[in-house]
Amino acid sequence: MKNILYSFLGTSLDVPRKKKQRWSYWRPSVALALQDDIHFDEYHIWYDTRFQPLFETVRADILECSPGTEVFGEVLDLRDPWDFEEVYSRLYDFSRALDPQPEEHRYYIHITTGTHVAQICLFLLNESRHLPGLLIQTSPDRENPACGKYTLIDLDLSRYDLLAKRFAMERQDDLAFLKSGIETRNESFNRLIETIERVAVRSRKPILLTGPTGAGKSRLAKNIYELKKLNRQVAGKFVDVNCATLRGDQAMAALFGHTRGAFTGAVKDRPGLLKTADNGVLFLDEVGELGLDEQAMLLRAIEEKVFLPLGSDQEVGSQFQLICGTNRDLETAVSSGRFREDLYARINLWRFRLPGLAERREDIEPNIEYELEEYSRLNGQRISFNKEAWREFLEFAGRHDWRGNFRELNATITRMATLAPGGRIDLATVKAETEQYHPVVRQDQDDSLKSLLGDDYRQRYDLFELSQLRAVLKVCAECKTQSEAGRKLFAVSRLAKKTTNDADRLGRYLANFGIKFADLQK
Amino acid sequence: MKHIDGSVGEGGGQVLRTSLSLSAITGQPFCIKNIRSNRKKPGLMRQHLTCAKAVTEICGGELHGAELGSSALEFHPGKIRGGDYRFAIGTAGNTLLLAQTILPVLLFADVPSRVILEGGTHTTSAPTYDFFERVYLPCLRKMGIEADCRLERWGFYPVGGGMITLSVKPVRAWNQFALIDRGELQEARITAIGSGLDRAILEDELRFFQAGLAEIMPFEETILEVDSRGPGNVLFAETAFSGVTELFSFCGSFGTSRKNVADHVARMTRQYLRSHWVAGKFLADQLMLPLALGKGGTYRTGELSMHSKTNKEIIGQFLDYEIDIVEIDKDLHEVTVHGNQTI
Repeated sequence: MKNILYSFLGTSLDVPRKKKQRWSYWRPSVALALQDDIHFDEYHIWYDTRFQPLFETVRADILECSPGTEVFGEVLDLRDPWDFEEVYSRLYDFSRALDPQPEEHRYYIHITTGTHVAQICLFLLNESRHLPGLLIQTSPDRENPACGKYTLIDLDLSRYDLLAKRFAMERQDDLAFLKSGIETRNESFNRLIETIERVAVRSRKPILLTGPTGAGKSRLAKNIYELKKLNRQVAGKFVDVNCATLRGDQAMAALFGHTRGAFTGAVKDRPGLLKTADNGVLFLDEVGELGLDEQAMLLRAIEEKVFLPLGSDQEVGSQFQLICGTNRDLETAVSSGRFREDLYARINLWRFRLPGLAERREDIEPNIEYELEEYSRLNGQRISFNKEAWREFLEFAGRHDWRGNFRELNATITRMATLAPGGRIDLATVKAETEQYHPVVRQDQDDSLKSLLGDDYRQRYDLFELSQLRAVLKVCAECKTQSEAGRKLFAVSRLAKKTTNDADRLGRYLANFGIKFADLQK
Repeated sequence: MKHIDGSVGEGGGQVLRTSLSLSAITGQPFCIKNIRSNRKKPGLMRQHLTCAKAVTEICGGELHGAELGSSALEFHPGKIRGGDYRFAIGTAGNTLLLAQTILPVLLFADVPSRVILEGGTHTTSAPTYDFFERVYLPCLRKMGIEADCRLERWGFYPVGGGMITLSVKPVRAWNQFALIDRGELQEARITAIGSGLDRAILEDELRFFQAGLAEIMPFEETILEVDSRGPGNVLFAETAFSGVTELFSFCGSFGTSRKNVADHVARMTRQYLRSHWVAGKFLADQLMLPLALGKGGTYRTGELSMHSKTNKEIIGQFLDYEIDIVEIDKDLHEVTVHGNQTI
């Protein structure tokens, strides 16, 4: 393991002004050899042949003060040391020929000497690992004139605690950003958002968002766009299209644009949504609803970044980042021929399934708060729940199936907020909402349970008990006698008993709910 | 395996150097952590690394984890061999500290040794060659040690390039050592040495020094213009008594005025002359280790320095020895080291 240093000859800083006093001030190339806590076995100096004598002097001084160091001259004649292209390509060639072995030796690159252009080139080559190693920066030191000071710089940013912390904080911000600032509690949803954040920041490839309607695909697409914009990955617009609204000829024209007179009513040129999304993000929601012709055109636009507007023979180019949304099973659509397989393969690189609200009940509460704030923001009116109403609504929200997901939640909150007397949602408002607008809830209730337990059974029993009861009743319905049902229901635990009394056990269980086996046989 | 904490006491390089010497002599391996943790640039510097490598070479030991900047290392000593050695620090790192580390080891070698040391010979924060030759070695000889040295080339900070030769014979018989009376003053001399400097600088230093000592006594003057690879300056005052010679030096550097250099040396010299110390601060620091190895002895000095306290503790980690410190007077202590007889 050797320590190998590369450095430019400092054509002004390294010059000894008076021979006798050359140890009394800072000459960066020589100063590096004077350090008592770092030693270089090999010291390679790039220099221009015009500076041969200076190189010889510097070399002699290095050998004198650091006898253990071998000094090598690396002739690098530059026409113009301020010409970026020339300096970079010469150093690049040098690095290729060098074939560094960072596993075997430690490399250091001194960036204090040489032109600023050389400094930039060394930095770039180091960062791209063509010239691996640590960068060394030297500076004079009043207390130690000849030696000066040096600093090692490792461009691997992850090594710096402070930076890592800042990045982590920014990333937290990014995550919060994607979640519209809602502090979601559902772990798998939070993990999903973390992955989306990484993809959004690092990739420009299409993203496919699936999940039930109202799960927040559009909002997430918009947030991804905003995040990309903050990271300066996109400069253009966010174009949000629901493909279900695009039908027939209009679909082609709307997406890809048309020329004047392309069809009746086309009185002037229209650029189309793909062109509008140039350098931006195009969100195609319900992409499964797109016609086959549009799919073909879209595929070409993704693959080749060009397409043909309706009625035009001039191809138009657009660089857009595509996000697709669907609640349909695209794979089924592909196998039934309604969706192009090749297009599906293109957009299916990063697929994320957004869960419905019912799958992340722990997030309902923060989302209610978010919806309230949004309502307040849009209407300039502060809305809150009173304590009873809040408890009642949370209870309702916790058991409701939320088929319409966030869209339904949004509608619910909007209605209650609008009707809330004096900006305060009270129990009556909540009750009116849950009873009038969620008949689904009622229809969904198990009628057999209602007839057995009474209308208000949901208020009297836990979901836990009701689920078990439903399963028990199902078995009872399949059996002719109480004993038969008992045997089935206690099939495992009865084996451990000396005497079996399954019918009795079942009877006692049902009695807890005020049900008799005979009632079930009707 | 001894576990040494390099941050004890002053937390400098002495912890490592003392451990290296005693480990090689006693055959006890050790590991050390927090090397030089109290220093501005912690970890191994070139001179410490050279010390570790030199001791390893002399005793055919094994050294693990020793690299520039390392804060921990492990050392397993082997059999000490005398003979010819050459160690180069590579920079102006001090060669006398290296000499003080290997000299005790070579006392226990099979044959006499001749060692060439390259680096700095007159640098700050370490003994100068002149102190080593005229103060330290004579004390060792009183203990029964046969050792000699010669300055081949001057080496100043920052260029270095100095060279000394050290000859050490295996110790045959230890003597009891005593430094309790200075005796008669025989000579007081102030010497200014320069390499590549204007003579006027050296003359000014002498003048400023004499002014600082005017109340006590005049010193005889010497100016030496020497040849070295780099520029350098050292000023030292030597007081030779019949019972002890002491020497106080300071190295000039760019950015330190000649008056500053002279004042520094004058202050140390005055302090010594006005006290009843026999061994000055720096000598006192360095006597403990050889005394503990041999028959022991007594010396009178001032308040125990941090350096001495650290050394005392580290020696105790390797050797079963005793040390008594008696306060005789205000600012006068008598240190008695009861030598270890087991080696």
